[in-house]
Amino acid sequence: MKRYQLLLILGGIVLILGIGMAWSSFDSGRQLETFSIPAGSDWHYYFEVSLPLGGAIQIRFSVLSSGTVDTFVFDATHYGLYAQGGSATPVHSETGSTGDYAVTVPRPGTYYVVFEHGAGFDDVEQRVQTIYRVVGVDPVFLGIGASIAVVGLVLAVSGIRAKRKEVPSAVPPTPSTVKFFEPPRPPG
Amino acid sequence: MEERKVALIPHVLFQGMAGPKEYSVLLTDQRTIFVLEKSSKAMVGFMLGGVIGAAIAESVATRRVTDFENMPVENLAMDPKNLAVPHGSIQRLVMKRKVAGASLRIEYTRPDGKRKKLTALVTPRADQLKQQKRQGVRKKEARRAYVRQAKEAFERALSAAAASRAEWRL
Repeated sequence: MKRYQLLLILGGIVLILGIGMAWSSFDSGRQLETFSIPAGSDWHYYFEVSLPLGGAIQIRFSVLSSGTVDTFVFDATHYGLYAQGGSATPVHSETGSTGDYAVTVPRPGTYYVVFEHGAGFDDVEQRVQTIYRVVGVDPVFLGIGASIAVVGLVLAVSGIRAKRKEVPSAVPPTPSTVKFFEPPRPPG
Repeated sequence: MEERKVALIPHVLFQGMAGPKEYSVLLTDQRTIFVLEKSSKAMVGFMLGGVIGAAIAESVATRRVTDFENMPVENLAMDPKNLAVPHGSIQRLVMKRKVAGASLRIEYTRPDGKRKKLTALVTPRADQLKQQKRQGVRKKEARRAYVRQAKEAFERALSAAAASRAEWRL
């Protein structure tokens, strides 16, 4: 394999990887979680999400067993307070047996989505299903992806330049029109 | 008797799985030899897409340059990438006009007795069409002239028996 071919192929692969990575930074896709909150008022369930600047989280939940749940979205500081039983202010709260909401966060960072027993259902184990989706640009992924894409582009362009510099073959090129060979001359 | 080179049709296209394959056709007084010039990887380009995809497809396309003047016919015929059809084995040859040139269909019998069909598109190279356009020749006219020359090349090369099995629908 020639140098320019290697550069072009490598550049193409790296470029596609970079574009793919940069593209994936725009949308994390939907995540599905099914979990149980054990019986007892001390129990809650949480998962953490990393939200970029101007990012949002869309949450849809439904109680598969019985009753209602309270759900909150906290930033890291307030989740710490909540977990220690202190007074915490959520970014968003919702109550019900089903729900569908979206929260746009004021600052980038780690946020905690919390589910706890609804009023009157502390003593029963509750099974909950949630589908959530993080919307926003992940700057780290975008930066790495764009950098990789640029490296791929540079490699590919180098390959194209290297190809142009190639020394042409010494063999005469195939004619562009139909060529008729001279018939052999009769002896004598 | 020594095999004599009669004519060279510089460009015909075969449709391959990975993209079109470009062949030259060397006609001798005994055989038609399809000589692989360029094996395209158009599918690679299609999958990658864009300018870079096209450049990559072009770069991984296998190009071969053949010295038709000096290379012995037997060497070309023996090359596994090429295809040699002895004129005596041709059952039927049809050249039919198409928008992009002419289709060439050859039905022949292989040495092992199997009957084979091959179909190629007889059409000038794109750079040749561009060059002729600059000289004021329309693409349609350039293609027709090329097909006429290709027909003449076959007529000169085929034996009387093989020529009787040829159809020209041009």
